[in-house]
Amino acid sequence: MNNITLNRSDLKTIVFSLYLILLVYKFLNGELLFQHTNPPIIYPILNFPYWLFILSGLKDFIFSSNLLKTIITLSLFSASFLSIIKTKSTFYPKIFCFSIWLYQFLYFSIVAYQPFAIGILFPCLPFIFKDDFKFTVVFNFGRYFFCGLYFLAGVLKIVNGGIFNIYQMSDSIKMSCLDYMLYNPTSLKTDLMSFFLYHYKLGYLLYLGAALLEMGFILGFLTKKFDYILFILFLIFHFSNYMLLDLPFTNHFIILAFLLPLRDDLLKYYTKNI
Amino acid sequence: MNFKTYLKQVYINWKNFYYFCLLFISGTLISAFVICQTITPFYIYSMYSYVFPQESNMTSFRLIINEKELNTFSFLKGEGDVIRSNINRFIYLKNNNYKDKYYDKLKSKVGNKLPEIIYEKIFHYNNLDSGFISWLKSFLENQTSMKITSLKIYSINLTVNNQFKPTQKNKVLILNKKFNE
Repeated sequence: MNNITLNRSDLKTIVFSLYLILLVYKFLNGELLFQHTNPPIIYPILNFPYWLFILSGLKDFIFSSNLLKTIITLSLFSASFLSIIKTKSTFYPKIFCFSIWLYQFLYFSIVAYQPFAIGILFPCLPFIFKDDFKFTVVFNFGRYFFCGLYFLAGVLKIVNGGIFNIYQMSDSIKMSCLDYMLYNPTSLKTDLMSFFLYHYKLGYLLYLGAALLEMGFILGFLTKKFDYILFILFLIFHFSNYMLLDLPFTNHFIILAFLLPLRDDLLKYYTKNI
Repeated sequence: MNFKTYLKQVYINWKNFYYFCLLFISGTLISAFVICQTITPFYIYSMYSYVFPQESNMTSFRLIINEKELNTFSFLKGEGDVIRSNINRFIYLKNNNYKDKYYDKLKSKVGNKLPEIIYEKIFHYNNLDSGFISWLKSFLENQTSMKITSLKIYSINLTVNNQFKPTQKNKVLILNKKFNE
């Protein structure tokens, strides 16, 4: 498994093909900008770039124009497609990065902040660098960011006390999924949620397991040898979240690209020179 | 290669990015342990890490159009998310004098250091009802391909019954609007 390595252009093809698939999924799911109008309610939280969107009137301006919404959508599709075709180009990845960040801020602005969906923002970023060394450095930074995000999530479950509450999993279901259960009484997910509401101690064991699993991402800071294990842990964690807490991860799974085995000869070369 | 070696390489070969790394790590740690909240771009995953207050219930809504209840989970996922989050937020704002939860928090912590325009344009709503109703009606007509003549929203509290299924505890009428045919 560890012998398989990918070079930059292989990675580029994989990442932007995944983006293209994700965009098609978003279209089928009604998540693209041109599929939405502009609700008067906003979700500011402590998101300063988003405050600028609101204060400058950019959010209202874009949402009031079908043309602009269509242009952003088209640029997402065409830039990801052209990034696949033009393997050496950094221009199309730049267009794509700009469009996807713009899209995501605008979409969050009408559907509330969805922290579990931020993965979509990052795997495209390393490809804006022409220089192979800079690309490798930024790609590896993305990998550490990914591992840090999950490791810190595990630590926060201890610091914020969730891990010491035996009802934490059943309370999480009660506080966020009862509407899903009410309107989907026959679904398998509802049965599972009911099961863990009743067997709250089993639910707590799952919560403990999830916290340990997240803290396991510390491995990513020590070595790349176990990236394929982290890859599997990510899928187990998010699939369980989807089944038990109705948290989909289709918008986020692309962050897994950072665990793909990039040939980082350049970094190794520089390492020898330290 | 471990993180320490990585940082060493970056320090030697690309100093600006090294400083960016330090800034990013510091910002993330401050977000996680001092402010306890994501401050974009310092993302943290703190959801489900806090203990929920005892006796707290999930608040949701019932949406009645043309005297029939609408199940928003029957929409496409993207459309359903938009309608549910907007209605839940409308109920929250209506019950909170049209102020966001950060309005009072920021007022008490930073007060006039933030310009008033930020409070008024971002954290406070004037005349929200008419704009929201008009948006909601058009959104629902588009989704259901029906002409909407009446619209009701009830805020509901949900709890769990002894079969471990959700049950409605109480309901409060939040919006009741009839439209001319």
